Amino acid sequence: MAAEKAEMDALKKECDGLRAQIEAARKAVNDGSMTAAASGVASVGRVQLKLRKTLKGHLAKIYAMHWSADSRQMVSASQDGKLLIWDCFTGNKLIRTPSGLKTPDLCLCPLPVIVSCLWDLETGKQKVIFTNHIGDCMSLALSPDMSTFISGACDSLAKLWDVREGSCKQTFSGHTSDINAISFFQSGNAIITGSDDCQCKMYDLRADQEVICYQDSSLNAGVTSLAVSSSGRLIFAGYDDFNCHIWDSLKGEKVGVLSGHDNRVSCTGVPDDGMGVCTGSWDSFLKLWN
Amino acid sequence: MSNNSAANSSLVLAQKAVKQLRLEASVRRIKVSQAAAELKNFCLQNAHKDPLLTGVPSSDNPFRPPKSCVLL
Repeated sequence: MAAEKAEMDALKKECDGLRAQIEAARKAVNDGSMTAAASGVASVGRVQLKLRKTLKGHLAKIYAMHWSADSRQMVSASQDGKLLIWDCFTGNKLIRTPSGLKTPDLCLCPLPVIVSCLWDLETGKQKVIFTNHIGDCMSLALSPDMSTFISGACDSLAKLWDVREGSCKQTFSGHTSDINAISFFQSGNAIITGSDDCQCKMYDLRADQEVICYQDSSLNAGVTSLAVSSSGRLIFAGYDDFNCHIWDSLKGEKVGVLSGHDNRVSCTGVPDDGMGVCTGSWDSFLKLWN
Repeated sequence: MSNNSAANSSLVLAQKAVKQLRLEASVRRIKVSQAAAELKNFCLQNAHKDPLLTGVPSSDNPFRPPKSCVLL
């Protein structure tokens, strides 16, 4: 017993030492900030997008949506147990399927669908299970080159994973509550997170740390979802206050808002062609804006 | 593991934690100033191709078909 306790103490001491080492290494490269780098960049001004369509069809809260690679079709999932596939150009429903999925996030990609394990669609078997988060994993996103993915969890951490090896490569802290939303920046070098602590953050993967925080004292609602415009300049963040607020990713300023939902915005998405943004809500509607 | 005593599994977890932290500590990091500059440049270089920044012309808006006039 004593030997085991001694070993535990030694391991704990080593953990503490390694954590301190990581913080010191991050501090050593922390020679600037995003706001400093963007100080000479022109402001985007007020971003005013119009509501183009409201998609009605779900009978209960919508909790996830995902654009197809064709930037025209979109799938939405609701607590009514249905997955609906929409043609967003016409507003028509294409397919309705009953769904037994209870996932908080849908991720459609040519590779196996990532839930919190990697499934082989052909065999229907779990290929790799990613276990590292202490809390429930609430959000996932695949990197543009599909070699890594990021997860955000109730333990307030974001983690970067290697898809093939199933190993966690980096861990990002800073949020003080559940991370509900996570997305890659288009270049693949940064990630953006949204949390119940009412903040969004951008972490650069190569600097291994937070580079900017998106917060506003007037915003007291948790972030539920987020999506990034195709250049990376605009972040669309859905909040519990029924709105989707628009942030200038470089300057950290709020530059617009999408208002219209009658309940919490639960999901947002920008299609690959960047032509608009879709918001889904607990009010059972999806709205298309551009 | 045939004998899963609490102490045993705590030890295994602690060993895994150390291994994971060693991996994360070995990451090669670039300077924040360089990272931020590159992110900024990416945004600026792609701004002209971002419809949500440049605006979507109503004649060409996929989510809003143009109103058509029928000439008799």
